[in-house]
Order: sequence, then C-alpha cells, then structure tokens
Amino acid sequence: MNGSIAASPENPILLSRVAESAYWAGRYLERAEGMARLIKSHSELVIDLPRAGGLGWEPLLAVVGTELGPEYDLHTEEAVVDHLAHNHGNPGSICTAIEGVHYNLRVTRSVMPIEAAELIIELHTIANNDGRPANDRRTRRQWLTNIMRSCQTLSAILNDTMTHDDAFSFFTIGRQLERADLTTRVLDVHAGVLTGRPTDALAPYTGLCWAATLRSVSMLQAFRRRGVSASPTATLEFLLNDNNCPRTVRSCIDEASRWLLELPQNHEAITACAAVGSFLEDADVEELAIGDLHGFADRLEVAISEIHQKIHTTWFRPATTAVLS
Amino acid sequence: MSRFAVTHTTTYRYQSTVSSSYGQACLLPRSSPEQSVISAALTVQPQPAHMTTRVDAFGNLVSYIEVREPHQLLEVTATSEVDIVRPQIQFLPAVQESLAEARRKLVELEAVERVEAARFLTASSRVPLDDQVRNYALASIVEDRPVFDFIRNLTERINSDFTFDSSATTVTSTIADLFERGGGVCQDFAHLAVGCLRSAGLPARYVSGYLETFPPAGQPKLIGADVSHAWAAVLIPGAGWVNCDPTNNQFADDRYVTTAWGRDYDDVTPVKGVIYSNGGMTQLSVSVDVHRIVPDQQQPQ
Amino acid sequence: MKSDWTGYSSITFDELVDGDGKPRTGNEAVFQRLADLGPALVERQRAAEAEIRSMGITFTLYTEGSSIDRAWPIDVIPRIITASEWNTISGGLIQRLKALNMFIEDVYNEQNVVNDGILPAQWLEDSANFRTECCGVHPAGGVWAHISGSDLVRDATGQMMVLEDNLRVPSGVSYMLENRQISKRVFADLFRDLDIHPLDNYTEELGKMLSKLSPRDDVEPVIALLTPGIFNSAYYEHGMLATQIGAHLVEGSDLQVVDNIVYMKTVRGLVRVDVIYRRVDDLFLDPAVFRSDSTLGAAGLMAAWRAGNVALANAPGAGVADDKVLYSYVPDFIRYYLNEEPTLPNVPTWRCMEPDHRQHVLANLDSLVCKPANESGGKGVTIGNRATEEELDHLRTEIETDPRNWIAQPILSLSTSPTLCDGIIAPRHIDLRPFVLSSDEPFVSVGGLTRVALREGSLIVNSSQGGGSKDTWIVDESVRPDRLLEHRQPGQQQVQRSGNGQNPS
Repeated sequence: MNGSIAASPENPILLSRVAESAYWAGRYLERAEGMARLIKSHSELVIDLPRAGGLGWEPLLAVVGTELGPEYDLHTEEAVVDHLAHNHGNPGSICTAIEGVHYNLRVTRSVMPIEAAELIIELHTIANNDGRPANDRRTRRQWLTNIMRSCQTLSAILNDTMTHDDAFSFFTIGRQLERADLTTRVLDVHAGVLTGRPTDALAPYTGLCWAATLRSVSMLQAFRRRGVSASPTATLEFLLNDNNCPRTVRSCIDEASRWLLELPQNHEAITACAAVGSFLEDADVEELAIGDLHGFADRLEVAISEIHQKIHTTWFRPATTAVLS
Repeated sequence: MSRFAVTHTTTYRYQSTVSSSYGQACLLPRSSPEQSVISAALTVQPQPAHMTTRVDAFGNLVSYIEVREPHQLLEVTATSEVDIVRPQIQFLPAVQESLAEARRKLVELEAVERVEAARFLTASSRVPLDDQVRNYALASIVEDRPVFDFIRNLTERINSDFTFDSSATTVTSTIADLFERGGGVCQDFAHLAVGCLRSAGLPARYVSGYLETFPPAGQPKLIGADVSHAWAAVLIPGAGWVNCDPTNNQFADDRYVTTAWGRDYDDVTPVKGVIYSNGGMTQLSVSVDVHRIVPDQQQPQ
Repeated sequence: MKSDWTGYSSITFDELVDGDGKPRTGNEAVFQRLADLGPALVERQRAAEAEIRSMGITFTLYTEGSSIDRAWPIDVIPRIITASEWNTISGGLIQRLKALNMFIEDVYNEQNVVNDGILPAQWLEDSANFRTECCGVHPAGGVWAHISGSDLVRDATGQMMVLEDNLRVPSGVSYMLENRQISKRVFADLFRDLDIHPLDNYTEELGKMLSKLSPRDDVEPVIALLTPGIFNSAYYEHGMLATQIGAHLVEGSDLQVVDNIVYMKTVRGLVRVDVIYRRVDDLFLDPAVFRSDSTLGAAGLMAAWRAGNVALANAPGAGVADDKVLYSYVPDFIRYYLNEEPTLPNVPTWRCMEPDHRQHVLANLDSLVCKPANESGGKGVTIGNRATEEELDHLRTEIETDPRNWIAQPILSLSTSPTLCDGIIAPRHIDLRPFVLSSDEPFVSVGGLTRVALREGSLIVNSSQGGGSKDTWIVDESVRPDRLLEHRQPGQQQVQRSGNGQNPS
C-alpha cells in the first residue's frame, strides 16, 4: 500500500470522530439557544393572547417532537416548560443540549480555542442551576436570556478565534443544519396550527401569532424592516427563502453548502443541499398558506435530514477502509 | 517411529457479513527432541491481507492473520507432516528416583534449563494453585516413592475420578468447574494435571496437539473425524519432559503429535481474535484428520 | 494567619525550615516572602483556585460507578530543592532508568539477569505485568520505558529515596506543568527575583523524543496520543499533552491496522501513524492478542509494533518492573547492568515470599507498611501503626495465602512542607514524582510533581485519596543575588545513604 495523505499547515489532520463531535457541538449549541428562544417567545405569546384563544403549550412539545413522560401528571405550563428546559431525560431539552455541547467540546478540545473552555463551564453551570428557574414565569425570562446570551457568546468566541479549518467547517455546518431544522419545525407546528384553520377565537390574533412565529426564530425585527405586512404568504416566503436573514431555511442551507465546499469528497452532501434548495424554490407559498403546510414541512425536514445522513456516511462512518494516496 | 499427516480446519460461518478480521493462530506444529516437522503450512480463506508467523516466548509458532475482505465464512487450515519418536519413559532410570529427589535435582539443572523450568512451576491464569488443586494432588504424593509412580497415579486418578463429558465444560471453564461438574474434556483434565504436578513442586506444561485414533472394528476411518487433543508434560531431571495424558490414562507414545505448549490453554489457544461486523451469530466447526503415512524413504518392515 | 513562622514546626524533616526553624539554603527568599505576605497568602491561594477552575484543570474521580470532575487541588506554597541536590537526584534517576530499560530489554530477550542468578526466574514469571507476547522484540535503542515517573520520598534524616517506579503509563505531568503556570501568576515577584529553573521544556523534549522513535525517516512523523477516552481520570492530561506536543488525541476506534500498518481515520482518509504515545494499559491495547473485549485499542496493533511499523511509547510489557518485588532488586540491576553503585537508594523492602523476610514481616506488622506487589495509586496499602487489629489479622491471612503478592517497608516519616490548611500554614507530608524521558539523550523534568497529603498526619498523597499538589522549584543556591533580603552561608545539605543495616534487599 503506497503512503497515505499528508497533513499540511492549511489542512491539518482531523479525525473523523473529532469532526463528528465538532458537528454535534455546533448542533447542540444551536439547539440549546433555539429552544431557549422558542420557550421565551411562546411564553410571551401566551401572555398576549386571551385565555379563550385556547393556545396551550402542546404546540411547543410538537415542535421538538416529544411527549411528556410519566413523571408529569398534567400538560400544565410548568410541566411542559420543565420538560423542555430542565429535563435531563428529554433528549431535546435545553439541559440535555448543553450537556451535549459540554461533552462534544471536551472531545474536540484539541481543535477548540482555549478561551472557549471557561465559557463552556459557565454555560454548564447556568444550565444545571438546581432551582429549575424556567418553570416559574418570574425567573424564566432571565434564565432563558442568560442561556441564549451564553450560547451566543460561545458561538462568537468560536467564530472569532477558531482557525477556519475542517473542524470549523463541521462545527458551522452542524449549527446551520440545526438552525434550518428548527425553523422548519417552528413553521410546521407553530404556523401550521395557525394558518390551516384558525379557530374563531384566535382569528383576530393571527397577526400576533405570526409575529410570535417570527420572534421565536429571532426574525421579527428583520422581517419588519422589510416593511411588508405580516400576511401568511409574506411571512412564509420570508422564513423559507429570504437569503439575507441568517435564520431562514435558505440562508442556513446556503451557508452549510458554502462550508461543505471546503471539505473533501463533498459531492453527495452538496447534492443533498441542492435538493433542499430546489425544494424551497419550488414551494408555492400562496398555496401553502392555505393548504398542506404540514406535509410540506415534513418533506422539508426529511430533505434536511438527508444532508445529515450524507455527512454522516461520508465523513463520520465511512464504509470504505481504503488508504487514500 | 511414526509419521503423520495432519489436517486441522477451523471454519467460522457468520450470520452477517464480516468486514474485517484480526486474529492469531497457534496451529503449526513445533519441533522437539521427539518430533521433527517435515512440512507445515497454514492457509486462510479468504486470502489474508497480511499474515506473518513468529516464534513465541515458548518456542511455538504463532501466526498473525489480518483479513480485510468482506466475508461470511472464514476458514483456517493447518496441514503438516511430522515424524515422532518417543522414548519409553518407564525404562529411564531417572523416573525411578523418588519424587523428593526429582524435585531436589531441579536446582542442579543448567541455568538455562532451570530458568525455563521456573516459568512452569507457578500458578498461571488458567491453573490456580489453590487448596482444591493442592488437596487433590496430595493424595498422589508420596515423597520417597518413585516419581514415575506419582505421575502414573495422578494420571489414573484424574481419569477415573472425572468422566469425559464434552457438555460439562467449555473452552473458558476453570478447574473449579471441573470439580463442580465431575466431568470435562481433555483441556480440563490437562489443566488439573498441570496444577497437581506444579503443586508437587515439579515444572509442568500444558501441551496441545493430536492423538491418532482408530475407527471401530470393521469400519473405515473417516476423514476429519479426529479431534484436537491436550495433555500435560512434566520435567523430571535426567529424563526430560515426560508427557502424560489423563484423558486416556496413558503416557504419550508415538501416536501423539505435538502442536504447541505453554503454561496453560491461554498460551496456546488454537485460533483467537476479533471480527468487525454488525452482529449476528457465529457458527464454529472444527475438522481434524490425523493420517498415518508410510515414509517414502523407509521400507516397511 | 500568623505572619511569621513562630509556631511552625514539623515532627520530621521539613523541606523549608531546619530544626531551629531557620530556612534551609535556597529557601530564604520564599520564607521571607511568605512571612511578608501574611494574611494576603490566603488571597493568593484563592486566586490560584479560581484560576484552576476557569482553566478547567480537572481530574476525574470515580465513586460508586459514577464519575465527577474535580478541580485539581493545588497548594500555592512551593516546594524547593537546591540545584546541587537536584543534580544528584536527576543523575540518579537517569542511572536508574538506564538500568531499568536494560533490564526490560533483557527479560524479553536473553534473560541474562535470570540466568546469571541476579533475579530468581520465578519472581519474573509471577510479575503481573510480564507479557510473554513481548518476548523477542527489540524496540529501537533498547528503550521500553520511554516515559517514566518514579516516586521519591525523603525520610526523617533527609535522605531522598525511591519509593516506586511507574513504567507503564505514569500520569501527573500535566499537573506539574499547570502548577508552574499558576505559581508564576501568584508569585510573579519571586520569579523575577529568584533563579528558579524553568520546566516548560518538558513537553518540547517529550515531542522530540517521540519524534525520534518514528520508523519512517523520510517524512515528518505523525504522532498520536492514545487515550482510553473522555471518562478516563487523566483525560485532561491526555488532551493537554497532545495539544502541546502536536500529537493527535486518538481513541482506539480512531485507529485501524491495514497490512500491518497503523492508520487513523480522518475526514480526508486514512493517515499513517508512526508513533503512539499510549495511555492505555497493555491488556487493552490489542483485542486480537490481549483482552478480546477491549474497545480501547486497535486489533493488529501488536503485530504492527512487532514488525517495527509503529513505535509504542511506552512499549507493551514495560511495566514488568513496576512489580514491587522486582522494584526491590533495582539496586542489584544497577550494579549488574551498569557496574555502578546506585545514586538513589531504594526504601528498604522485605519480600514476603522469602521465608525469613516473611517471618520478620508477620512479627512486625504494626510497625511496617505492607503493599500488594502489583497495585498502584495506593490501593491495598496497609500502614501498620494506623490499622486496626482486625485489619492486621486480615492482612496476615492475605500474606500467608499469597506471599508473592506482598512486600513490606518501614513506615517512613515522609518529609513535610508548609501547606496552607484552612488559612493556617501547617506541615504536611509530601513526595515527589519527577518524569524521566529515556533515549540516547535522557532527560529529567526540572523538578517534578510534588504531591501533598492534605489531611493532618496523613501519608497518602494520591489525588484520588485526598491529596493535593505543589509547584516544585529548583533554585540555584550558588548564585546569591544581591536582591535577597538576607545573606546566608550556603550550608549545603549533605546527602547521606542510610546505612541502618536493616536493608534486607
């Protein structure tokens, strides 16, 4: 067998296992932040809406595709929030996500800047606060804000100090895919519930609800700056296809593709990204706003997870054992 | 003198495809004063990506096998031809000396021999020298009787106290299991014999190999119907290593082919290793054929 | 806290002050500085602890199946050794490791040490870490234990001696390096005023030594540090060392042997590995040879190593001399292989499998330390004068049942060093683990990891059992900077061998 590939200063060797951890560190970091924002904006919406609107907390559970475990008696606000924020047994909770960040960044220590270490510990400490502060409306907002701020600071530090090498690519791709995924799920559940057949009681508040949808993915401000009214079609088009705002599905996928281009053997993953791109392009938002948004979002989610699959088989668990020359 | 052609095939059938397999085999016969190896070869299917054979710490031939071709069947075949001449040990004067004398004479051995003997004197991973083993040995130990009588008595007792029962134990069974179940196979008998010999203060080895068998009267000998075998060997100063077989209650003669020896089974495991697959069952089958041949250069007498 | 040293006194040899409470040579400045600091020392200690937490320096503690990351316990008061004494110590360690490596090479090949009657063959066979799988191998340069850490203690008379050798996978070097980082920040002023020998060249020397082991001389060697993974107690150290020497921190699952060559799986394909600094125990290195249930190693690794296609540091089987029975023969090995007298003495050791030694041990259990021959980290150690009658009875049975597994040593009154305990400076027992890199140009870390038993009177320094650590300063006593507040005669410590006639080995 002739030699193998050599490392170069621009192209340091990255173990598949470490790449996988960098990718998951990105995903978990984004998940923790996204979940915190989601709970926060939903809390605000619930406060804004009249009780009669019948808006409960179940939609939030649907977003993360989880159900309350037997340890919770009722679908109360406190139970749902506790499950989504503090429950270590829930793979989609903020705590679990931060545990995931902590673990994966430990694995990737060798490729992560030392400055991040302190923040990770801090984030971990906030997340594991014994008091379950998210459950109480009085402390919830502050705790969620702290989580979001710490996540953002950590992202910023990693962005600013990490060498833009393969590890950084995987980290960024993980973040972008998680973000695209979250925006899609929010659309699926949050907006889907509202656009399909809004209950009579909620009808007067659809504007509020759309605003909440945008807020939950941190895009309300950006959207308003466009000066368009918050019609379902305009909002949908914006959430899916806007290519300036960093949290729309399109922006996330474009950004992921951009970083995939930096990696070797990226053909399959790039193709999967392109498939999501054309899927978005072909979306008829007029139709979707009154039609099968749920089915659309499902298909979009599947298309996004296809990118994940390709990344997984190409770099994390390559089937081939051939030595590259 | 006897000449044998031995074929030993180990076949693994896997339920799911194995992507790679790394292992080592201790199947090629070693040479010794009693055994000359005329030819020996190891073949593996599928073709290994890498295979090397080395001499291990005990002088055995150990082959490292790396298979990286996806497969559902792995076949390891050792073929060899050996000549065997063993002395009739009961006629050697040294074995008629007392057990105490034999033990005493160990210290008079040449340094290299003494060092070699020392490694077979103490407990090893599969042969503990615990109370159970010591007490069992005690019944055969008579210090001022010939060492030959001790060995013969011990061999006889193991043979009669335990039944041959291949369902009683497995390759990982211990001497304690043998005592508990009252039966076992040659591996268990040999381990117990080795333990008893060591607890009597004599160096003892575990020997792996084969024994020529004969079909029931009037029936042809079937190819592959033989089995691999194991017994014990004990060092008697002046007589060398004496091979005794508690499974068949006899001293080894020209029908015993030696593959390897060590402190116990773990040193001479025929085939071991790891495979990479998605799980599923493994089916193991072993076929051994010990075939007596008439040497070309020697006229039948 | 008292701002002077009145009231500070040790029941045994103290590293900082002599019997009259005066600072020993080389310690004057630190002595004065600590006194000047007064209560502010507590602040410095807090600062150091905060630093450790923020740097994430941890060790992992295992209790009842779960693991907890604990902040590394450091005591800011340094332990000081004069350069001249240090020269003797490091020379003694180089001598010791040279002999030990020759011993290991010998036992896996010719076994002359046994054939010539220096070491009884049986003790070798019974060493839990003697690996017959390594017989016949000749690692490059005859070096098996490339990285070792021997534990040194000083007895009541001030004599430095070797308590044990760690040739398998010695740990602690990262804490030695981190302690220096911390103490540099806490005592920046002293580092300016004193000639404290730097020690950060350790990792550079480690990297150089490992690179030289590469079987390929035509390419830049690829070095991997093989860790059991994130849940190992020394994972922090593995990560830190890998980063500093530019090695890849790999786990068993990252490695794959192809055609008897070791590769690691990367996102750009398989990359050949030349040198593996392994922090995984022998028996887990290769499931095809050792424990087949191990996922911490790589199948085929041993064959690749034997073929010379990859270097393993430390070599498998190097731990053969960690056995405490074999340890007791090290002075004989030094004489046998080097034809020299050992510079550093052993702690007198009784071997329980020798009838006369055993008799002595059993008759004096309450005044001896008994240790299992093949444990590490202080496991199974019984200190006679602190054990209950019941514990001693149990020990007696154990020794009688399996004498080969037991050795005994006199209860040493380990030297003490002033240590900050709940705001008070108090004497605490310490040891020292210097790290030795063996090659044709051997290197000893400048100082080492000083471990301190934080509980009053305790002799157990292991971090897993409530031990802490200190920075170790090698200070030039021959240069007397004018800056120093006091001038003293360099009354050099006389290094004496303890010829008390009790040494049975």
